[in-house]
Order: sequence, then structure tokens, then C-alpha cells
Amino acid sequence: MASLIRSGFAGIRSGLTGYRSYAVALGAIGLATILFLPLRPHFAYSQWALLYLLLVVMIARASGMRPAILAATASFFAWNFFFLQPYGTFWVHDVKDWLSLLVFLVVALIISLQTGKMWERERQASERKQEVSALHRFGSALVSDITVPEMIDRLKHEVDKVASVGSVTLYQLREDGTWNSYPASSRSEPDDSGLNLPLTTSSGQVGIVHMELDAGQQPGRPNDATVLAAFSNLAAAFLERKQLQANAHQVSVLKEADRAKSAFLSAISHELKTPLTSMMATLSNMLEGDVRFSGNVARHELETMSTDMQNLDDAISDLLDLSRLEAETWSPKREWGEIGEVLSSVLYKMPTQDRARISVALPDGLPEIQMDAKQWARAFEHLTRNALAYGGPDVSVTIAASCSNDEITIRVADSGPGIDRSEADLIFDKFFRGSAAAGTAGSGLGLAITREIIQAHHGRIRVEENPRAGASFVISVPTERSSQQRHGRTR
Amino acid sequence: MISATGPKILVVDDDQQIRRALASILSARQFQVLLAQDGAEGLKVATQSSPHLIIVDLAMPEIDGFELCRQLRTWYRRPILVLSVKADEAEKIAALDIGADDYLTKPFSAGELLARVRALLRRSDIESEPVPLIKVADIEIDIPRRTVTRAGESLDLTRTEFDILSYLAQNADRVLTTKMILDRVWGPGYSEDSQTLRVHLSHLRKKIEPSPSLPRYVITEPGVGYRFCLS
Repeated sequence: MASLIRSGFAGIRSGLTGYRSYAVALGAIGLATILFLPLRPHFAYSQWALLYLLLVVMIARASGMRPAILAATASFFAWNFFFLQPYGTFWVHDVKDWLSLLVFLVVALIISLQTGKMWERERQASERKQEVSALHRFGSALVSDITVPEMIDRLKHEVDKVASVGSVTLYQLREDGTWNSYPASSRSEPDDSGLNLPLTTSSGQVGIVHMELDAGQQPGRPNDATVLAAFSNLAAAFLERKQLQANAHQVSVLKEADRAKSAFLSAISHELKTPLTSMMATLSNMLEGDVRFSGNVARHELETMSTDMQNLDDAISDLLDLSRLEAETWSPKREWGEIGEVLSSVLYKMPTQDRARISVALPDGLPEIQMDAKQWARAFEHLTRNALAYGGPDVSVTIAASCSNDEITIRVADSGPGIDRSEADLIFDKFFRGSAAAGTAGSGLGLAITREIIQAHHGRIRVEENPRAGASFVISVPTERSSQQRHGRTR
Repeated sequence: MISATGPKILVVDDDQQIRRALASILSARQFQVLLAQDGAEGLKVATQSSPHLIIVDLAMPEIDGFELCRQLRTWYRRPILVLSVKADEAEKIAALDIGADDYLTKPFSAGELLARVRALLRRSDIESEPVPLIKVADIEIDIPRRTVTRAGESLDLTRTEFDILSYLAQNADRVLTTKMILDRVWGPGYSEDSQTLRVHLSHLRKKIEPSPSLPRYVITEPGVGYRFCLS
């Protein structure tokens, strides 16, 4: 791989205009000479020298030192040939003219050198400025949340401003040693045809930026290497940041999962251990043998144990239900069914005294929906059981339904103490037990199960503000017509 | 045990704790209890002592409860009660369709068990002499004359509706699967689907239910079937 990472920057050319500037310099002197010639009789020969010097200064300003030296030399000969007597020869017979010529050449060369150097410095300064601002723009772009392909686009865009290159491809080193290229390249790995810049982070080399060179390029300026290395370092830093971000995200997800898991475990052990503890205490108390329990007391103790056992069984069923519902394989077994049918199956399974506290008001002609009736029965069971358990001894429960706008709305309301506003959002969370639930048995899973079931039917459940009193749960579920439409849209 | 003189009940369960619990509940009520710890032994005891009722656990190694029911049903006509794990409706349907008469989900209370056992034994007594007139709340079903009245008022039921109703009512408080009803009313192998049954039930409910949108007599047992509710 080391062979792939050529550090030859010679391919990048500087952008100098090359031979053209020399031709322009010569052309300018020639043209000026042609223009000067008709006016030769009107001015002294020394004045022409000043005009040539002016021209040399201008060329030095425009094209730098070397074209200026060429122009200076050319002016020297042109002045001598056309403006120093005898005209038309390089021969000078006056010694004073010899001196003038010499001085002209020296001055012209000094001007070329000085002005040319200045020009060079300015040019370099403006190039530095361009490079710095390109790096700055690239750097700022990297700080914002962009994707790797966007980063490559930016890189190409900015590199183009300081060094002309063809295509820019990023090869990212995968863990298995193969290359991942952006944009997707037909080559599976970078080749030697262009320029390969290593991307190195604290964890070693992570990839290569490959740049295709434009055809016929000249060796570039010496500092191109530094600038391009700066670009590739920024790109490497970007990739490293992306990697760290991904890691951090993963860590936070794992942390959250871990937290949820330990909360789940502690809640489970609480739900299961509490009735078990109570049973064990009661039973061991009776077996202790130091106290003789009268028939009535023994019966009472046994009844307590029976209730504990029922709670334990409920908690286990709820846990099994929820884990089954949360398993990704679960999806409702949908068949046509009526809400009333499901409600009556729930009601007529209840003890008569509980049923007597529930009143149901269903309008005629409520449309059938595609439902997993078994799951819906479970949801209604949890809602009614909740209302009866937390509503107090004299609670009455009203179940009403209505249908409008392709949606069936079912309201399960009770006359109990209601739900604290601050708890309305939490109440559907697993194991959440509201302040009103203190002292009553329950797994804290019933509403989580209910919501899971309703959502699997594309429905919603929420707690409604009840202006009078009591808790009111509202379920909305699309009728088949609207859920078909929804299906059609998503397909 | 020696004093037990009641009906003979065979318990087939591989789980010793469950066998012990069932034996203790049943023998305390004067039932004669026979125990078998697997399907093969269950079959043997059933042939030797022809019990009045058999309780079968569905989850057993080798010959499981379903297979045992199937084999028993080739000759055994008396009630079979199966024990199943909670929340597994498919299992219940399969057991009922194979010939079990009722199911009980674990864990169960002694009260539930005894109620089911007594109901099944009572029904098997009755079945020998079919009841011509069934009265439930204010509904009267006269089987031989094929008439139904509610609060003394005659109801106009179609033939199919009457067949469904009388089958459900004769098995009141017992869950009948869709397949059982289809087999009974349309004949075995007749390829009617559950949707047809739903349509007929919907018509039937409109005629007999005081509030058809919230059934009170013909109750849907979600995921399993239907039952005629007495309470």
C-alpha cells in the first residue's frame, strides 16, 4: 500500500502563464518601438530611454521579473538600434552615448528585478490568501454536519481554487483491508495515475484522497504540497470526527438500553418478589407452630395468600404479554370484527358485581374493523380493570363509542379520582405506576400493553382531561376505509 | 380414598405437582381419582377402567395431549377436559377441534376446576336424553318444534340460524370453535368459511339480542369461537 501513497507533488502546476508572458513582453517592446519611430525627430534620444524604462516597469508589474528582464534587454537593443546615432546599427561612436546605454541597461535591469520581486511577493501573498481562505471555507464546512460525499464535493470545489486537479476521490480503508470509495469509483482501490494523499488520524491511516491531474501539467509551486496536505489533514480530521460521533451515538444507545434493562429487571423483581414475599411470610408464619391459629384467622391468612398468588399470576401474564407484543415478529392477526362483540366478551367474563358498575353506550351501525379481536379484548380488559381498581369502591365506568371521519373513537371513563396531569404522559410507560396506584396491586404493565396493541392497529390512545372528575382514556382507530387509503398511500 | 364413591376421573399429566394438586382437590370431593403420568399410561388406564371424565395436560412428552385426545376419541365418548397454558388460543382451538370438551388454563383455582368438572359430568348425563326445551333468561328454545320465543314473543329464525342457536344453547357456557359450529350446522367437510358464520350470527344476534351491538347471549370468544352465555 505504501507504494500507492506517492508523495510527489510535482504534478501540480503553479498556474504561471509561461511562454506567453515572454512573448507579450517582446511584443510590447516591438509595438512601442513601431509607434515611437515616426516621432523620432521631435524628441531627444534620452527621452526615448525614459519611455522604454516606463514600459519595462509596466511589464515587470504585470508579468514579473523574468519577462521584465527580457523586456529590459530588448529595450536596450531597440533604443540603441533605432534611437542612437547612427540609426540602424548597434554601433555607437560617442563615448557619452556608451555611458548612457550602460546606465540604461543597469537601471532597466534593477527596475526589472525590484519590481519583479515585488510582483512575485504580491502574487504569492494573494495565493496564500486564496489558499488560506479555501482552507478556511473547507474547515468551516466540515464543522457543520455534512455527509462524507458532501465533504468530497467541498474538497474538490476548494482544491480547484488553489490547484487545478481533475477528479477527487476518497478511498476509505475498511476494517477488512478493502477500500470504500466516494464517489463510488469503478476502481476498487486507488492507483498510481494521479496524486495520492494519505489520510492519517490518531488511530493511524484511515484512507487516501486520490486526485486525478489535468493533462499536460507542469511541476507546481513548492508549497502546493503543504496546502494539499493541509486539505487532506482536514479531511482526515473530519472522518475521525464522524467516526467518534458514530461511536458516541452507539455508546449512548447502549447506555440507554442498559439503563432500560436494569430498570426492567429491578421492576420485574419487584413485581414478582412482592407477592412472593408476602405469601412466604404468611405461610411460614402459619407453619411456625408457636401460635395456634383459629379457623377464622387461618382462613383469612389463606385468602391473603390466594390474592397474592393471583397478583403474581397477573404480573407473569402481563410480562409474557408485553414481551410477546414487543417482539418484532408480532403483528396483529386481523379479521373483521366489531368493537361491541369484543366488549361483550370482556364484560361477560367479569364477576357480576364488577359488570354491574360498567355501563356501555354503543351507537347502532358502528362499522366493523380489521382487528385482532383477542388483543383488543386484552386492551379493554386492562382499561376496565384499571378503572375498577383505581377508581375507588364506588366507581362507575362508562364505555362509549362514536364514529366520524373514518375513525372510531372509544372512550373509557370512570368516576374515580382521576389522573394527575403531570402523570398523563408517563402513564403508558412500562412499570410506571401513578401516585394513585400506591397500595393497590398491579404490574404497571397494563397500559403499556394496551398502547402496544392499539398502535399495532394504527390507532392512538391518550388520557383526556376530564373536566368533571375521573380518568378518561380515549382510543381512536381508523376504520377500514381510511386505513386502506393510508395503506395505498404508503405503498 | 376408600370412601370415594363418586364418578371416576382420570388425570393424565407428566407434572407430579399438578397430579398431586388435582388428586387432592378431586378426592376431597369424593371423586375417584386415577392418575397417569404420560399419554401411554393414560390410554391404558382409560381402556381398563373407563373413567367418567378424563383431564389431559396438553404439554406432555412423547404422546402429547392432542395425540391422546385424538386416540381417545376413536372410542371414548365421555367428556375430556384439557389443561393448557395461558394465552395460547391456537392450542385451545386445536384441542377443542380434536374432540376435547372444554379447556382450563393454568394456573387455575380449585373452584374453576370443580365448576368445569361438574358442568361436564352434568352435560354428559343430560346428553343421553336430549332436552327438548331450553330456557335461558327470557329466551325459550323448543328443539323438536324448532321454535324460539323471547319474552313469550315468537321469533322468526331461518333454519341455519336456529341450528346455530340450538347448538350453542345446548352447550351453554361452553366455548364452541368456529369449526365445530360449521361442522355441526353445515356438516363436516362442507367448505363454509368463518365469514359466512359471522354473517349468520350477526342476523341471529339482531333477532335475539336486546342490544345487538353489545351481545349478551351469543358471546364471541376472541380468537377461539363462540359461547352461549347463561349469566
